Amino acid sequence: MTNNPNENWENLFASLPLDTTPRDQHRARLKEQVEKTHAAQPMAPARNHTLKNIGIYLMTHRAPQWTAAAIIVACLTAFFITNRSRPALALDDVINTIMNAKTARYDTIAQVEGQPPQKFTTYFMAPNHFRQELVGGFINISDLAAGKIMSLDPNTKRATVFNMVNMPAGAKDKKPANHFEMLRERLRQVQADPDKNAVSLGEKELDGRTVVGFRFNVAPAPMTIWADAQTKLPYRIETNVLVPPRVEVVMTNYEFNLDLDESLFSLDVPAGYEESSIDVDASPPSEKDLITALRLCCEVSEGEFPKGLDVASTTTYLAKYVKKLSLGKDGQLTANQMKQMLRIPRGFLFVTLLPANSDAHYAGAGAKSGQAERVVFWYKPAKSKKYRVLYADFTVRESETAPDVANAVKLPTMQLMQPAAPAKPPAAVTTKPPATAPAVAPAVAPAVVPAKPPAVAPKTPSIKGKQPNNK
Amino acid sequence: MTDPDQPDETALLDDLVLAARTDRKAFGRLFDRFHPPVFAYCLRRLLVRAVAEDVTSEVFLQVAAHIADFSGVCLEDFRRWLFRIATNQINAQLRQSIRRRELLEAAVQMGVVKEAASTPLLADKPARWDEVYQALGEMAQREQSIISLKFFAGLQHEQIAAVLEMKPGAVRVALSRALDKLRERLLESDAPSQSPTGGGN
Repeated sequence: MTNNPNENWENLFASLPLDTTPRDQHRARLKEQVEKTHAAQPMAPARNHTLKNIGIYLMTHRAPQWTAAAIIVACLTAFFITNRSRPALALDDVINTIMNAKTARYDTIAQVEGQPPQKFTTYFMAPNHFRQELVGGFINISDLAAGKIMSLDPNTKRATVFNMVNMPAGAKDKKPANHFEMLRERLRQVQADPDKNAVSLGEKELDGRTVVGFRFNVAPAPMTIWADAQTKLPYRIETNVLVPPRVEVVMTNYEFNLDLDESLFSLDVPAGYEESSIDVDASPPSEKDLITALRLCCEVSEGEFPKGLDVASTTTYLAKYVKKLSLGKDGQLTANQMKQMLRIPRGFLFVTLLPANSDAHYAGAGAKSGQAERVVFWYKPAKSKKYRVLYADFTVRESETAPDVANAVKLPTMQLMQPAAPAKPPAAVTTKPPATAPAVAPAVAPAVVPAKPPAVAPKTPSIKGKQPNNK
Repeated sequence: MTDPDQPDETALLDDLVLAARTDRKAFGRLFDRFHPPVFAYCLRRLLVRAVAEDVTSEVFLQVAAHIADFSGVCLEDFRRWLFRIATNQINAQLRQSIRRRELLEAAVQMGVVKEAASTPLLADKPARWDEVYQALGEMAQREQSIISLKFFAGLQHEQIAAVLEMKPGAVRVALSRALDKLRERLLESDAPSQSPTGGGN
């Protein structure tokens, strides 16, 4: 006998005198039927999911431009941190066309659920230059190796330059962390075990051409590519953003090795633009940073913890934080205020960068700061057997087991977004091309996305003029 | 030690769910994975193997016909969807008096609940399976569904909440009350059931 009534009932129902093993014949016949039914259905549009595009969410979310820029910068720090140990990739003969591309251009359409689609164009120049042009003339130019991103607003003639400081040692010397390097990694993973990682979606007509579709299960950031059957080049790449609200992203119109003027990627502030410069801490965020971020959120929400630690929450709390600030007469943030504000996404980034097996959970919805016994967050640090449990009074205690909190939400982490390590050594890559895949490159969503002008920004504070201390 | 860079099984299964929307092979693998638990769920609730097989078939044919429109993104989403369909199908069956009669007839054949299983709940009172199923069938449909998903499908509270679109806390409370009610009815019942009864609302 047990004191747990559920267990007693479990025992009772477990004693049902039934053999619940399905009959093989029924199972086989049914499988045949359901597969036929499945095959008879019209092909669904691919809905792939990647968490890479936090920035795209921001870009398309109705958030002030500075908000988007702030978190994008924070995400860039993640880019450096999480790619620091990636090995340089050997080129694969099969994918030389893509892997050797010196320049590229492609269009992206991102649609946030319930909002009109947003379009922008990305330019890439090896090894690490990006330029993204948005509707309305907004431009973002970045050089990740230099740790710099410049956001240009041609309407107000303002240029905001984000400089990443405190980067992990050697980060700049590593293979540049850019879209194309990541493509190579992804393809290498697929080729390492094509049977496991590549699923053929068959042929179809798309915009008057025959394309071949493949789903790359390089988990947990899969993607679908529709490649031109003749040129073997990617024609359309579809991804989704898992973080609500749902964002569907389609990248198309790829061009490779086109002539691009280097001036497109210049990080010199254009003449006539008012420059603001902000240093962003690019060191790996810590648990302390998360606590600081949550404190800041509570300070601007009458003590209430954020409902979530997702991008939407970050945006919300950035907006609340700014609302509390004493802005100048022109309603603009100072560089220092911006720097302080960036502590919120930096803290949230700590969670994002946790290892996939950290079992991070958030249970802060409804919690109020100061509640000493209220668990709001827990995770298991790398190589630790114990959980770190954060309470609403901002204390942290260690626990052998994960807390049992009813409304806890398991958190996605950036490690889940990163390409997994290759299943086999690189030497094995070239020996066996995907059984079902043509020689096309997989793709990931752009790792760097531009700050987006607000679709509707009632009163958009921007950054005050050049700060001497930042230069 | 687990390599945090390696995709875990859950992530791979999430991918399988996504791929199953368009890929027959992937869909077949999902079928292989979920057919046994769905069949077991149906059988435990309906007791008649032939009926359980029919319902299981209907469930998977529905899934196959609508997988293209399935908007879930992970294994848990799929499980929730699958068991919601299964629960609806089971409830539809149990709205038919002939099915309820068949069920109780089968329950009568199963005889008495093992003493070791019934004693902790019902003390010295012996319980028969037809009493258990009759008492269950007299409960509100949501209560029946919660109990069935918990003990026949083996779902956790959070999963039941997702299937029935309730809050996990509400599931806990409803389950506790439903089990108390079920126990009371079993303790009150003292005669073998000869006529099937319908479910409440």
